[in-house]
Amino acid sequence: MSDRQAIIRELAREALAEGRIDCFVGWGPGYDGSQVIPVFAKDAAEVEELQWNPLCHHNLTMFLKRKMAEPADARIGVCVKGCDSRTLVALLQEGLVDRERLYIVGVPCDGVIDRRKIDREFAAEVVEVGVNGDTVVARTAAGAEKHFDRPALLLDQCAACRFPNPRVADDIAGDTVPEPEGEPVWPALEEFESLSPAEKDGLLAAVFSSCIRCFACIHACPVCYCWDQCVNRSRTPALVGQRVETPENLMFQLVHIFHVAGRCPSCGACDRACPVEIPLYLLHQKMNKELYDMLGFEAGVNVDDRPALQAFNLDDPFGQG
Amino acid sequence: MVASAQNKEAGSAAVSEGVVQGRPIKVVAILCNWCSYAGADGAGTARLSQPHDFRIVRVPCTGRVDPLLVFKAFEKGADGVLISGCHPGDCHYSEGNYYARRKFELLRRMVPHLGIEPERFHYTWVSASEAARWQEVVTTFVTGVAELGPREGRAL
Amino acid sequence: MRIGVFICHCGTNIAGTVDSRAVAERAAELKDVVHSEDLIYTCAEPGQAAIQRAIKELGLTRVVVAACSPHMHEVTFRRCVEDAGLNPWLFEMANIREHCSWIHADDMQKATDKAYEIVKMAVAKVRMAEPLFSEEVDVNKDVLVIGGGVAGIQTALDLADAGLRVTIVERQSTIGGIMAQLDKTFPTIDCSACILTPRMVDAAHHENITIMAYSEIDRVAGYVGNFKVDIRRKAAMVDWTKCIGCELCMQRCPSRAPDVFNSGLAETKAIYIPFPQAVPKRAVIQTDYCRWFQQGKCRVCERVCPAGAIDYEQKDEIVQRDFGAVVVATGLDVFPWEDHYPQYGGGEIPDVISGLQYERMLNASGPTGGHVHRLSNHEEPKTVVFIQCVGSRDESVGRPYCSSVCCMYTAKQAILTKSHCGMDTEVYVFYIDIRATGKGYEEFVKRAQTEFGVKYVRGRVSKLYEEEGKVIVRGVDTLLGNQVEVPADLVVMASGIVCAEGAPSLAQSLNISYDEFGFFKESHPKLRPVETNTAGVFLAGACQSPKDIPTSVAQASGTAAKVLVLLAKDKLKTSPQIATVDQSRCVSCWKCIDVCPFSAPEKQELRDGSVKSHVIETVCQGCGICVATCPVNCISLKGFTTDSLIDQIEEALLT
Repeated sequence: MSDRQAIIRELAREALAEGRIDCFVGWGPGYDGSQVIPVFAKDAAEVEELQWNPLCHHNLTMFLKRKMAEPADARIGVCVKGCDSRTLVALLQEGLVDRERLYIVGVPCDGVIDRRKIDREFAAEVVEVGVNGDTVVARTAAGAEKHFDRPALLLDQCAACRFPNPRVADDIAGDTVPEPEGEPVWPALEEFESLSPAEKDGLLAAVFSSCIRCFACIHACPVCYCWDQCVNRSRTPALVGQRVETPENLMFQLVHIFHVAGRCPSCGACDRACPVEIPLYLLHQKMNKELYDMLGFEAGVNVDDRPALQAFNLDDPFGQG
Repeated sequence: MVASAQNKEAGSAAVSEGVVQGRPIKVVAILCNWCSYAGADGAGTARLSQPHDFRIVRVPCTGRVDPLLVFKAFEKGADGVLISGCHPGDCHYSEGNYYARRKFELLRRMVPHLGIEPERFHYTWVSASEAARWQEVVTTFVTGVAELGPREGRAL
Repeated sequence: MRIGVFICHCGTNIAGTVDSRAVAERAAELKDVVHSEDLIYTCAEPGQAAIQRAIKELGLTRVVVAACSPHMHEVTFRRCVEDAGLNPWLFEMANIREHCSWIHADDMQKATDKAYEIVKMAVAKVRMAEPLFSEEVDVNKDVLVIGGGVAGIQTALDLADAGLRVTIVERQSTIGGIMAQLDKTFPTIDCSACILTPRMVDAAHHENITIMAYSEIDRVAGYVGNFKVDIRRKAAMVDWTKCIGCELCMQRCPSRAPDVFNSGLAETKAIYIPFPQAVPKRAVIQTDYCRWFQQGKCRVCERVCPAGAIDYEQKDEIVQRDFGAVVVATGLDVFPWEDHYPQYGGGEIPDVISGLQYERMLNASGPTGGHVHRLSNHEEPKTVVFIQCVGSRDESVGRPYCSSVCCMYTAKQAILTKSHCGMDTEVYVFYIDIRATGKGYEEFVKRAQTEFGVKYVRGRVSKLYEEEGKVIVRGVDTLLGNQVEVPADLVVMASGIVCAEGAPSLAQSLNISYDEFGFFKESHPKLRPVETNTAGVFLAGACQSPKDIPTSVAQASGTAAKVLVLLAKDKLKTSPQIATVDQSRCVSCWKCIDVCPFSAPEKQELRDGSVKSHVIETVCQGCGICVATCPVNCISLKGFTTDSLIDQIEEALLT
């Protein structure tokens, strides 16, 4: 697996040296030994910082639109995992990124770690996470240490991942991994789906009472590109008011969910960004599952597709009533 | 359109049974101007009795209806939301209801997962010549919502 | 904000169930309502006068009339308030008749309460209304007709007679289309060329018609009333200002080329004029078959041409023209049955030909001089078999539709076979159903059977194969329940109709829709069959769907009428209830452009270099699909803004 890291560095180095790109977006060392953050490498020295390991959960495509906009002719290299590449496909479907100016390095992935699953096991802050094969060692500043089984730490969505290999790429960092076959499965939804509407109402009321309308979910979402013009910020139309109360908070999230419907590739960035741990991934997955049941549609899989809600078939098999 | 005695009776029966004796509820019906609104007009011309507890909001096309508007209606206190437009294929603007059909189907599937009983939302297609069908659709829907009573949601 | 509310009694239609006076009294308490009265018949003169008086004397800035359905009288009242000096879009109607008094006859109190709530909703909506103003746009009155077949010619003649200037752009070197290739027409057995060529000449000579033959549409820009079209004048290698159509070049040319006009039954020369009555009658060099262009030898045509018209250096030329409306009349092509029916020989059996090829054979000016003979041995056939529904009504070749004309042209060709080859010729028609819906059509088919002895066999043909010099037609007679085999000398496929080649890409450049078969989409199949969803682009003839000549001609005149409606005025007035973009919030995602059925939003470059969406006022139909699609919600639909809908809903839900 560390081969992939070497390959990523090699590819980035070459692309920069040959002048094919102005900047390479990848993962690099974080604030401490327990994290990885997005980095923007512009020369050979910065390329040496690039990393690939199970902490690389970030969907780097979220930087593309901004990075590509200024300067207007910037050529960008970017690393994408399978799920990230679906975002890229969604952006390409809508013509929001210029393929000609992109150099895509696809990274086949067998799952990334959910930090929350580690943090929950400690009282103090974890400052170091080391991955060695299937063993993960986490340590606090005080030296408290725990060992974990890597597969148990993966993000919920990794367990159901259908596209571990990038859907679009110029070069692939290493060998591809086996792709699961058959219909999608939705293990994260089982418990939620077993609740009655009244129980769901209770659950949603509980979690959305914590929402502080910080917009982290919207900022983290790579297919959200309205930014300052987001209707959630606007007084007209008055879809979402200014009061921070549960129904308005849920309305806020519904705006996000329905605006990404048909384009959300289940990357989970929104969920990971939420500071109060609202189960946003759950709601987005539910929407994606319904779209799949309705139309057999999965967002961000084929560049030639159109997002499900921006298209129609004359014989869409529902709505007979 | 000539009202049939049968239809009038059926409408009155529904009105006197389920709804009047039910608790007061408020239903919002969003109708497209060209087909369903005209169909509702036709039902009026034929004097087809309907329950009292719904209010019609006119839109030019069901394609105009953002699913978020339906959630907004629930948030503002609607106990039921009904949308009706032209039959797919007959849209006055050719394609509006094809887009709407997908959005409403997704909406219909998501409603129960947001803590709202599925019987409180319904979308259908009523043409300008289907006055009797409008009576049936709105009576069935409003009666169903009346049986559930006013919505008591804490999330939305 | 000074709102006036008028509650109608409508005689007893409303007042019989709804206490209109009580509603008026309650409405007077609403915020911003400065005047509220009830009227017996609001739409009548006294009622309208009362509204106008209130507007003038009380300075009303908004008006609500609670009465019948807006479908009845919205237009009436808009005019009424406009006459009193109030913008007509600052008016709203509350439907308390069809949606209230007429359906709640059982309970007066409940009906009155509901009427009051409906009035409240209308007041909430009108509070948000803004004055709206129609735009006026200058209109170019020239018309472009794409396609010079019978439909295109008909539309062009009608428009030209009405005084408009028309340009016909025709891909081939002559107008006339498929009809020029026909021998006779059903059900009258009129000679096709005899009825068409005078029309072709009329079109050529009409002072208001310009024919651009051997030309194609390169690019279309602009919108209704103001289209800018690039027309490619293809290089004929002959100077048409000099060519006199004497055909000497054709006679002397040593190179052969496929003869498209004769449907492949014969060959023509590399330099050719399609047929003697061609309009314009000018020669064209097909460079793929010309010795000079392929091998650098010959140039005989140049030597013999008495007018010195040959010009090997000619290049394609693009000319730009402006038009107010575009009529698409690109016609049809014949289904290439050879590629889809291996069971019928796949084109390998010489005596199996298409309907159009047979038509050329029957024609006295055709490659056989009108003599019907077998292609294999040139003998006159004793048995001719027609097979209907080849490439029509057949899911297996992806053509489920009926081509509309084949039953009739087969009957015609069967009758002509009997008269060309003798009444003792055996003629069979294998059919599934007979579609003879036009005037005199059913009688015509009956004549074929009774008077001419054509044998109609109800059943499909499963296989054609050669045996001992015959073509064995193996089929079934479902009425008798037998398998049948007919040893035929000549077999004619009633090949179906497909769209003209290149139709889908023309549709894309015009921004019109087409179905999976390439037929262009009409705006509404019942009520708007000659318009498209693209304002200013109309359809005529078989390009919209397979149809026969009378239907094409009728439709073409209908199309001309629609064009005249559009261009009757010098300026186009637009409905102001359209979408408009708040460009300061637009994020240039182009979803609006993606979903609009009418291509109303366009990319507009602003002075600061940013590109934002802009809705073309004259094209927008006001449906609001873009409004529901825009993620920023920066497109608003005047008259149905999202905020006005939320306000109405809120008002309805207040206890």
